[in-house]
Amino acid sequence: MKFFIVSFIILGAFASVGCNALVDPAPQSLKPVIHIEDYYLPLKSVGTSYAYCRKSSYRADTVWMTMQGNDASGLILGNQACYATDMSSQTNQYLNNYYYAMNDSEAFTLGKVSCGNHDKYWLDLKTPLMVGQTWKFKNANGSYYIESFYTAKVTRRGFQMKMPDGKIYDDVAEVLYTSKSDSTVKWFARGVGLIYSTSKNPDYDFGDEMRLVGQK
Amino acid sequence: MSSGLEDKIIAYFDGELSDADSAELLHLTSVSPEIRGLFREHEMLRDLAQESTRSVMVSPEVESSLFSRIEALAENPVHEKAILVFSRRTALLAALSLILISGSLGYIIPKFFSDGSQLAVSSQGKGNIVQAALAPNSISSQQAENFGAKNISNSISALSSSKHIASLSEAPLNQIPLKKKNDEIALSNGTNKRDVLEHPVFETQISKANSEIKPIALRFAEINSEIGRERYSPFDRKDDLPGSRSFFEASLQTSSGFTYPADAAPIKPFAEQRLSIAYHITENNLIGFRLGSGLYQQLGNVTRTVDNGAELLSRNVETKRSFSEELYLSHLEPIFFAGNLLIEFSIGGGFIPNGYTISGEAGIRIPFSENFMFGASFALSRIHSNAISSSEILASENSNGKPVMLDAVDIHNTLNGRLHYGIIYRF
Repeated sequence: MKFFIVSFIILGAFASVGCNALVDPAPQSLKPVIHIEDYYLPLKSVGTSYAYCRKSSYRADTVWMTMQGNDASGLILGNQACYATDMSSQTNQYLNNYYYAMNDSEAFTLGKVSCGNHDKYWLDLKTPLMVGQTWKFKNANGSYYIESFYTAKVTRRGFQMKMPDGKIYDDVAEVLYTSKSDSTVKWFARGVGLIYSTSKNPDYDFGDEMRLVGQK
Repeated sequence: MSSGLEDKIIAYFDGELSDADSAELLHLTSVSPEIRGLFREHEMLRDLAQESTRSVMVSPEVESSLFSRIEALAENPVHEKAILVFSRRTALLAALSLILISGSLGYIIPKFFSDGSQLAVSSQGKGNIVQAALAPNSISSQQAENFGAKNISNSISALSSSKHIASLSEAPLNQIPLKKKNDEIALSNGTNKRDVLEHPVFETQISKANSEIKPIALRFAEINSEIGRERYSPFDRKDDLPGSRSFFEASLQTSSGFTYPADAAPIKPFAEQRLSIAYHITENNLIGFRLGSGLYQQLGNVTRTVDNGAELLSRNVETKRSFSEELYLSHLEPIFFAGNLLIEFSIGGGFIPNGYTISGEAGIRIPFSENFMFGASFALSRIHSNAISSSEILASENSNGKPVMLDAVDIHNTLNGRLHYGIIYRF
């Protein structure tokens, strides 16, 4: 009888602390992303500024990108509405307007010309953003003569990333963009947006490397 | 009710109660203090009766040796003959067989010898014992008839009516004080020693045996003392019983089962093994040590690669074969269900490499010999891994100016469900 009483107490103790304490839950499988803006820049959040450390072979500076919202009058050239940001750096205080487009399923970088005449069309993200998912797009990289065909692939999602400053981002998606002459990788954190990118074919605006170093 | 219950208790100790009724009686005894008291009283009375009659009891050996010597006299009164000693069960079966055979012969033979007398047929039917006992001594046919099958049958029935006497003594023949006729010792079944010793047939038989049988060196064979029929009180310490002085047990078991959360296929049969050594603190409670070789899902080592230009740390849950060392406590609960079974409940805990385990277990044991049992049980074990967490891994990382990715799971506690089965040996 004592044995049963002791066993009952032990089992009761187990039950009281709950099954979660008894066994760790299984890793949850990734769910499809419905709203792509969850992983993209906070374009709708007017006034939010992101600071990126920009590195290239010839320079290293900090770029500030401030969200201007959708269809910001006076900044948008052309007839189409898009999201605008302004970019400035410590070395160059001149504000470059930079345009983006986004809906529920896709997020684009348009470039610095206009919403309608996008010179650096780049399809950054696309739902459902599952590992292995691919999409294609054509990019001129600012050139009127050369066009590159890119294939984007979601190579990893749902992992953690620790930045050199010690900040840790959870639920990060890694997308690899490849063309004949380029290999660019971008990391997007859920609820934050672009946190890190590297490119073999440096872009003048973003350099070889862009790393999020601050938000305000 | 009390009288009927007492009858059942008496029948139980006499070995005459059926298994089902015995199980019911033991159950009632275990749940009712009053019945338990009554049970103990009868048990004590029985013990007292046994003790008091121990010096005058006539054992089955005596019966057997007596008849064997009578038989030996028929062939060679001087030379020692081999003595066949049977257990009571064997003797009973033999007796039944003899009865059937003799009954058949008694029906068939008269058909062939229709002109023979009934007496002759009767003597023939039981002739072995009669002729063996009387032929060498030239006893008359009337004496033979008096000392013959009829009276011997009577004496056997008289002896067998005192079951306790016959079944409980193992005293050799030369230690039996046959001359103590006046002792009045009550036996548990109502007879007394005087009834037995002063029975005319028995007396005649003994006196003839003493005068006609030459003393020979008796050889006593091992006799199965009806272990299977002997009934013991459930309150007896099993340590006092012959054959249960086994304080240890060893078992070798294998297992199959599942792991939650699982990253691999179910554990296949015979994939795991465990060797257990246990000590019986009491008959039904034991403590033991268990050495196992099992498959555990544990966090693997952190691997470091460079992927897409960034450093990637990864770690997964792996199924590893490891040794485990456990201590466990078990409680055995005997039940009767189509045979004698034992229900087993266990709790235990121990260590695995870089972790520990705690477990609860329930199962069944099926004895198939005096020392061997088949055991099967289902165990649920919580396996804990002491591996560092993902946050600890990241915290310890120095990025050297580059971001570091960590793709790892954080499963430190898993639940193993295993069906163990194997052999248990008690010694």
